[in-house]
Amino acid sequence: MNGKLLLAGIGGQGVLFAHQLLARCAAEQGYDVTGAETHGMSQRGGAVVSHVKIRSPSSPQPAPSGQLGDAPLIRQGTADFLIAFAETEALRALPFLRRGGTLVVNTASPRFLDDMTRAGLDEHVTVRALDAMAIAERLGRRSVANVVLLGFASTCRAFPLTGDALRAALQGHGSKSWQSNLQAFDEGVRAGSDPHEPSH
Amino acid sequence: MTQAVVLGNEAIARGLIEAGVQVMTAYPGTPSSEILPAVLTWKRRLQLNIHVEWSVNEKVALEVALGASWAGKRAAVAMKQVGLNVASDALLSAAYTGIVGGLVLIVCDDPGPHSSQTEQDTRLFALFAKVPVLDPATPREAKAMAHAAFTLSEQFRVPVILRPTVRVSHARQNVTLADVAARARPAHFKKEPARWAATPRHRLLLHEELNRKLETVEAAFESSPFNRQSELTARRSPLGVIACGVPYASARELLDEFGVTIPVLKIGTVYPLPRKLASDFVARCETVLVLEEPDAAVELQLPDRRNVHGRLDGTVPNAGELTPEVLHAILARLLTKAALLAPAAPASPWADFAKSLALPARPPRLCPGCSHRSAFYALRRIFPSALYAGDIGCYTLGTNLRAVDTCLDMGASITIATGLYQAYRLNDEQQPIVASIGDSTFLHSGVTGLANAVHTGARFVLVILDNGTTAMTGFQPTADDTRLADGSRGPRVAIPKLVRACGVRYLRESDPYDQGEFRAALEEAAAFTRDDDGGVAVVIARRPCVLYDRSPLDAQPIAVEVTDECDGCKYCLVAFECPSLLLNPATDKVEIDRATCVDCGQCIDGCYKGFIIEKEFASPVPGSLFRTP
Repeated sequence: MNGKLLLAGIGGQGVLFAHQLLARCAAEQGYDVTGAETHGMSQRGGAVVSHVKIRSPSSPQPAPSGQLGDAPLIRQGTADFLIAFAETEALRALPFLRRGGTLVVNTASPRFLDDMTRAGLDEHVTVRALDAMAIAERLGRRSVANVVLLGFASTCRAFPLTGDALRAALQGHGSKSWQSNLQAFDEGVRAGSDPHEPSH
Repeated sequence: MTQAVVLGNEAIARGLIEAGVQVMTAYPGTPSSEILPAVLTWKRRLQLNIHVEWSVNEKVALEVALGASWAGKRAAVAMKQVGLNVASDALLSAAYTGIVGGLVLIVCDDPGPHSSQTEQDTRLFALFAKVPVLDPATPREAKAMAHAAFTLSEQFRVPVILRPTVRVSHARQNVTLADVAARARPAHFKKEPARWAATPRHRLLLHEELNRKLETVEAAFESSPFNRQSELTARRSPLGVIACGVPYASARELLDEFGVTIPVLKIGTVYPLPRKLASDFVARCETVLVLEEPDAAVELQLPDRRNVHGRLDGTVPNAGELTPEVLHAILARLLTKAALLAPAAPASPWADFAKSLALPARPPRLCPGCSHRSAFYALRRIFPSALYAGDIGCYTLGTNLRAVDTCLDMGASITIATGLYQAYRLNDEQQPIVASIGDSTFLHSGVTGLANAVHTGARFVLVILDNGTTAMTGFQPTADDTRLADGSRGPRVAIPKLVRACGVRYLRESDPYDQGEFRAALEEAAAFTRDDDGGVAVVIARRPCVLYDRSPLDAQPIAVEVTDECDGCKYCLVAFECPSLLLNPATDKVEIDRATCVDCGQCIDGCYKGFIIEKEFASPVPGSLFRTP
């Protein structure tokens, strides 16, 4: 399945790690993957956005640009998923999301959903919110909130990568803390699958 | 052959490795900084015999690579676009002399700009310098071009520029890793004074030789695989597109999305432009749109521009990045005009909503615990009415503390301060002037300016912010370090000795975390600039970057708390400006953000009312409890 994923957060929240994980996983699944990252000045606490485009071998690009791969940037209004690691960045990056797309957002505020409803957005997009930071804190590592949110995102309908594929990519990532990352990912998956989990 | 998902800059490095690069030099700068480290990674992994160095600046880096090329080695040098301004003296001359081993410059442009002081187009620099330039659209193509650039360079004996933009350098894509060439070239410099030490008479001959080389390069580019045209029809098409680099990839995608089939010519070899290929294409279209970044290099070279639209006639904006949104608007307009497309819907259904929220901007800030903040805070206290000449690095963010009034280019803090001093001196005015510069930037371009300032009798305070690393671009070691790029050891070029050698007679080294001692040093320095026998006074603010080396902080953590007396005056938020100080709107009191605070204790000085205090007994180190705030 093809997919355009936009990741939005603040420098230091692990947006680059999430991007690398998704890209690596997609390539391991035999997909073509192209994306754009934010480096430099904005990493000092600034807004960070990552573009990830995944293309399955069954729907290759038209011939002329086939060898080059996709263009690195996602155009506004065309992203299938917006995965936001902070509320403000969800709103800032909202123009990228397409009609019928899914917003996955890390938020501690149950009011966020109400605000989206008031703005009438929930009629056109699916909003799935989770307090990923609370779960990460419960696990004793605030830094894994990004992985919790990815686990949660993987349970969304039409997400282009399966939870199993992402777990495999996490294990093969070579990071020293892959075990705690895996635990965090599974907690995110559980929160996405369990209707009783307080994911608002 | 294996697949790997890599950053564009890593793909370029891999291309260089596969082509057999043996000397790799660079000065770090976004978006080019990841190229050299990736070369190092493969050097180590594949145990390759490669010299890799972080040079002190881009001119040095280019000349080192050029010297190696003259001795027959394949050499590459990486820099950001403004780095080429620094290296331009060497480049323009090297175009005349030519090379022996392949010489490839990777110069990364920054349309936007995202992390640079200009949006300059390196492809126009290539035109000016008469050096071939390649313009990749994606990491995959950049990798192929990096390899091909060496072949091209050796075939025509010219330096070749590979010019990715930030969206290629920082794109991430799956690429194929191919075999790595053997490195068995002898080092052999063949003496040829008429070339390598040419006098003006020989320079004319070399210029004529260069012109002939460029003619043959252009002929070769007519059939280069990096240029390709599609959807050409027998009939003249109402609209055709010539595009390069990322705008090509984005435009291609947009045309597919629109479902429109029009002729497209992709140009990867921008200079010298294959003019026959381009002219034939233009002749087969009624109008042609040229899409390229960040300026007009292909458009300028088109022999007949009568039916051509682009930057020169204002069809394409003359500043800013050609994002998919900008391209969408341009293409939709021209396609609609050519009756090839019905008027398009707005790009995003939520754009207006998001705009209506008026979200606060999230500007970059100095990190919690950054020693630059402490230094700037002290500067503002001691020199409330100074003119602050700043420089390029993390510490440009001293603007947030109003301790940076100017930022021009690498090393300009010292020279702008000199000029400001001379201007006020002419009017017999004593205006306090403070220049601030980082350790790596001082070594890059500060030393010459300092020698000049001392020699010409300028008077100002120079603060060298020495945090032990090139922090902004990813912690590359400086020459004031015993670590070299590849982890081996080398002699340290000590900044204090350089300062002394420039003739500076007032020099103090001080830890800006020790506000008392640091401010005393600043006051002394200020007095020296006013002395009858005074001059430039230098204070080196020495404290490691908290992201790079946390050990001093961990050895002596100072946890702080805000007392109930906090009256919400916001002084600390404005003057000390630490991201870990937050105003709680409900209580109207400042709070410490425990998630980001690094326990540096520096904000104790940031509240002059004394409402930020050390948390009692919170520190495991007894000594720190006795530290005076």
